Amino acid sequence: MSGRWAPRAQLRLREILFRRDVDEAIDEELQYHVEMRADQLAREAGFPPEAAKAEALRRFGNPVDYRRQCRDTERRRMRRGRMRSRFESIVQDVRFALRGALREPGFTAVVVGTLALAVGAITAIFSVVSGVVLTPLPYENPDGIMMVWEENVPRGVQTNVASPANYHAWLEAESFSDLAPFMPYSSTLTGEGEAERVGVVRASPEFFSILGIRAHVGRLFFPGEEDSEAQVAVLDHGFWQRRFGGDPAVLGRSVNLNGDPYEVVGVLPASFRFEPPLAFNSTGTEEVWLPLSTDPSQRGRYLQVLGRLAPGTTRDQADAELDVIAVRYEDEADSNAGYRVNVVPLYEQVVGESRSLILILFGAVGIVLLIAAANVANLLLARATRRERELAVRIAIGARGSRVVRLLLIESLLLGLAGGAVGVAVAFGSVRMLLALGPEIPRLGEVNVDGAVLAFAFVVSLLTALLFGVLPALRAARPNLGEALKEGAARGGSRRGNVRARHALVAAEVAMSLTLLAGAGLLLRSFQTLLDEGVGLETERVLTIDVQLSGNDYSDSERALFFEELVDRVAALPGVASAGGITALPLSGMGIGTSFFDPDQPLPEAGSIPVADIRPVHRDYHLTMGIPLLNGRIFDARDGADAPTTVVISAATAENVFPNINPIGRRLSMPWGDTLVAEVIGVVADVRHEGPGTDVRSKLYWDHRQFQEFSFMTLVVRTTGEPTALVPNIRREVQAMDADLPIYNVRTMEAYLSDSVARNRFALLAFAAFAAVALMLSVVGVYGVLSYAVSLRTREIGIRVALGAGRKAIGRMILRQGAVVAGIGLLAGLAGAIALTRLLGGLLYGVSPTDPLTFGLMTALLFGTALAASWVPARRAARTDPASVLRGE
Amino acid sequence: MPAQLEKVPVLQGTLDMLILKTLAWEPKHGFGILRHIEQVTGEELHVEEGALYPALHRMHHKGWLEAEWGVSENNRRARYYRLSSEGERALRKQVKDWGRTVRVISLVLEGVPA
Repeated sequence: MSGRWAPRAQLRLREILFRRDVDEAIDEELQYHVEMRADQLAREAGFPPEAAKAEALRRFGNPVDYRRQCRDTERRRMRRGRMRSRFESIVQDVRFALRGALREPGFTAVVVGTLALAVGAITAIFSVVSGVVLTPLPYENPDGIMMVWEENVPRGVQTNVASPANYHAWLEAESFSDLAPFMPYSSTLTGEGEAERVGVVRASPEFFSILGIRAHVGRLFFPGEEDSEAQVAVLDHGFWQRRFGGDPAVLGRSVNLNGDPYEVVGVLPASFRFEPPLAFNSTGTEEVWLPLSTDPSQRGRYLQVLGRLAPGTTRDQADAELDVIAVRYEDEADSNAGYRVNVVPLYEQVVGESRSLILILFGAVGIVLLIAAANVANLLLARATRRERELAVRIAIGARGSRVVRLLLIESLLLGLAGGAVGVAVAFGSVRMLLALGPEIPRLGEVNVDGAVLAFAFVVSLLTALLFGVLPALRAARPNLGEALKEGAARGGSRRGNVRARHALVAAEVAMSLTLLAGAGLLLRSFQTLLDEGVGLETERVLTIDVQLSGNDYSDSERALFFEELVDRVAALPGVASAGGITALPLSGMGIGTSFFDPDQPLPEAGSIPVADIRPVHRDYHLTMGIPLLNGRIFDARDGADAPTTVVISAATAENVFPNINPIGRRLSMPWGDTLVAEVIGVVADVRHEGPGTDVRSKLYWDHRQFQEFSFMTLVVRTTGEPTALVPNIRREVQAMDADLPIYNVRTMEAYLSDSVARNRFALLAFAAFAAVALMLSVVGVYGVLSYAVSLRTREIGIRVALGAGRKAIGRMILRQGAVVAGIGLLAGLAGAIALTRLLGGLLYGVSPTDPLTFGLMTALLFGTALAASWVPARRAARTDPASVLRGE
Repeated sequence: MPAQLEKVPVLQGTLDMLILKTLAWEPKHGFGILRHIEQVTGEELHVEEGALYPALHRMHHKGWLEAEWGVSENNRRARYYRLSSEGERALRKQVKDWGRTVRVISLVLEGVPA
């Protein structure tokens, strides 16, 4: 074996000297041949010496050529030999490392398991980073695609839907080669099969050309088609499969939406996905696309606008150009006061908000990986000490330090790769679990463990292996030979060094764990605050059901009567405590809004008129939802279609418009169609319409009988028992009134509430999981390093006990050591956590990123756990039997 | 020398076989191998003598031959080649292939098995 360990550089030097030897040897060989031939010719054929030599050379051929050929062969031979010996020695190291790993299955399992957990977690999160953040949007030249919004500067609304009038004004801008408005909604699909609610998007024909989408079957819209009489539809691929079985003969057939037939002209490709940034009353999937036509004289805002930047134009230039246009049309209408334009890259629009969450999680899981690496480094250092003699023997018999380093690094790489391989399996499982959690992140459909993700796992495994392998390998290469080889040496200098390195690693683990624990703690407190604050509703046992009347079948007054009767029928069902309805349910997305003012006071300046959400409701809505009445009354029989108009306002509205005045009996005016004026009859408590943690906005509640534009209502039903048990009965009541009417979006308020905090819950769960792993690893680290320290000091402790030291004092001594290591880690961790928790920013609610309570609790938790982990080795130390120690180890 | 015009040229690829066969008797240096072939064939075979050496080095690289410096019959340093067991296997295979080639070609040329 020692021969294999011969220093390589020496071999290499010998080779260089050899190369000249080899050349000379070839010359000698060829020379010998020619001389022998000349000799033979002179002897046997009677050639004179000179002629014999010439003849021999002639017969030989071109010696330069042959010499070169021989030399090339020899060079190849040398190269091969060099590579073979290197390869053989690496194979030998790998074999040795594998044998070692199998000899200590427990150790190997712990290391591989730790790494698999960490690599698996970071790979899973990376698959999200890759699918959501790194992969460009699946459109043609996606960088040039923008969303164009109106921006309400005074009210700080940055992405407001646009009015057709203003969209038409934008069309003259040169910074866009195309602009395409679109509008998602939903319709009732009738015809073959059961009536159902489908998501519909009306979009201008340029919409698809901006995205660079081509039809899978048939065609998409023609330019100008929106203004023609043609009623055409393009189907989503999934809808085509579901409803038409993927039949290409679908072209020319028609789909009935809200009673109107549309001719199918095309089907979108299966890969096509587009989630409208704002979805009003949508079913969540966009299934049918219709051409959208817009009227340049309309000033109501309802359009979302997609744009393609002209070549060579930047977002900023486009934004500036549209702002100039906005300043020009600002004076044309009061409704444009204070409005500018905001151009947002589509990527930012889709990914922007989630990106910070994803990157934060990636950072957090990166910390977990570092902790795992520190832990493994710790284990390797401990093992290196056990192997000190073996390695020292190798070096003593001539292995160079670099060769030992290589062996140890190979061991680390094998462990890393094994961990990575198991980690990939962990990642597959984690990704599935993560997707099942439904964390309200866009583009989740594009997340999977693909080649890029596997490559990432591979590289991370290798880097992690280097990270945890380098320190132990370098330390092992410089052993104190004399000490290590001495029989029974227990207190080698290198061991003391190892202990210091291991204490530093454990302190670092504690520090990093504190950062994660603090993050998890802050997210938990935020989540708790969100839930405690709630939305101002009693969400338990409330069932909600969407009902959309077909526009052709009912007149305005018939619609109001229909909803009146439906609510009455439902309220009469057994198991129903009360029932009501609203046009835009809290937590279900956006609703409509308008400006309003007190007509009995001087009119506020244009642009500073307050705005409020308008919510036509069925009169028992507030009662059913548990929204407290603060003043006056809610709607009742007195507020019918022909009665004087009345309005119920929210507390925020009252405060804005009638500060220090009793609002009951005052009037409110709102420019809605023909300006409406209504008497305030009641004040109800505020509701956070967009979910926990969002701003309270002013609300104006109308009795739906006095506000008949809506053919849509969400029934809200408070039940005495399990809400969903009532669904069949309610469906029967609806179908008794209109057999073609589908009910949809059947959900509970609890489910809406749960969805509205899905992002926060996801962040919390992920952080809690990471923090738990970090805590566990740190505990193992503290325990391991102290156990080891105790085992090194057995002799010293034995002597102390023999000399009369109290067992309690011994235990305290070890505990103190644990406390010092944890304390140093906690101090460093506090500094790190204070710096890092600020990054959580948007995920925190109602709690400061440096909340002292959270920091205090988490520090105490970590310190307590560290002490508990120290207690076991401390007790072992305290029980040391001096007699057995002193008799001989 | 007019006689040389009648010499048979060494067929492409058969030089290796001749060398291996020669070395099958005993280890030899390059010139010795050549002399052996000349004596056995009565100098009827023509080969450019230098071409022997690249062939020897190549077969050494392949592991068919072992090489070592020794002292020649005239007391000079010479490089001796010896057949390895791999070389023996290669020789057996080449002889077999050669025999088949000859039989096939004879069939065509003479219409009877050689």
